[in-house]
Amino acid sequence: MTGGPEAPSAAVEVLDDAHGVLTLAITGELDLASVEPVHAAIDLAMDGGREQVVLELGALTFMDSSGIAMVVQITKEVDSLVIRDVTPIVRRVLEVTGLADVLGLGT
Amino acid sequence: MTDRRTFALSRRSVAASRNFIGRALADLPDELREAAVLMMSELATNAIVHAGTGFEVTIDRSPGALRVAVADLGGGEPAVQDPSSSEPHGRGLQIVTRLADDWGMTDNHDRSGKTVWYVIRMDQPEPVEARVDSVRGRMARQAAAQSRRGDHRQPDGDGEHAESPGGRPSSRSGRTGRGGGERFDGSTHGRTPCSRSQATVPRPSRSVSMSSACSSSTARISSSMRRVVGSPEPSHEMTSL
Repeated sequence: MTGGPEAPSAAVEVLDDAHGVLTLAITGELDLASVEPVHAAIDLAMDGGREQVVLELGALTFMDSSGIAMVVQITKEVDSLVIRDVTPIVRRVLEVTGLADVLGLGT
Repeated sequence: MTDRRTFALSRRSVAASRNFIGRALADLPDELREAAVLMMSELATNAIVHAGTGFEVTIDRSPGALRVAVADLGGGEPAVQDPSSSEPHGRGLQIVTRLADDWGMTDNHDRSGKTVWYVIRMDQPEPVEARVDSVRGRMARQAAAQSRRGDHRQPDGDGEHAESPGGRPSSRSGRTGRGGGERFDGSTHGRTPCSRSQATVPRPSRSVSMSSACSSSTARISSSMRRVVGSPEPSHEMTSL
């Protein structure tokens, strides 16, 4: 059957956490299968809230509307969400949904 | 050229279907392939989450267009939404409407469920060269006609007469008009073929080449952009049959 070797993988790494600013790197592919554990890991790292969350997405090679839902949800949980270093395909999905400008990713 | 694969009811099938279509379209320019993969991911997600069934993916490639159909066995009818920037959900079909040149839904005739499909148009070399020639003038046109005689002849030859699903011929006139949904799928009457009105958010300039084209003029602009951006060498489709 499908699955197994083709299962998407995504991971969250805490790059920095100081002075109310939490910087995380999300790597891999964000979709229906991977978004829940990633979101749970981010919530755990946020530990009840931060003033600002920075997401480094330079190694995020795919994201669809499932990942967008997570990003939008995070914007509601923190005072400030900063997205940095997006790959072209992730930028494209943010642009086509009109969220690139909202997230400060306008060209 | 048709590829078909069935995927189980599993969240992992979303990535598996992306890998399937990504491999099938490995020869396409990145921008077209990425759009097709993203739309695949959205329709697979809808099948798993909303229909609650496995799904079958059918990829049909003809010289002028790519058509991908995702059939599930579930009820309901997906609805395009226009969520606000603070609403987490409701962007799956929105993405499809904005990336596809055409899309629609149809009931499955031989079984329960429905099929959601999208079309991405791919330029054939001949009309692009004709446009370039018209800019360069008569001398250049004559020279191009000599050096490219083979390319000019093929689009009118029998070898180009590709079949789309159901044995209908693919639209040769697609570059000058739409006629897309009905020609590609005769069973779409009463359903939603094309929803330009849903695109209420201003399109960023970068996305011109992947716009949802519901008018022939937009389609031409979009097509020429694709040619410039994605594929300067106008031969890859010609060798596919």
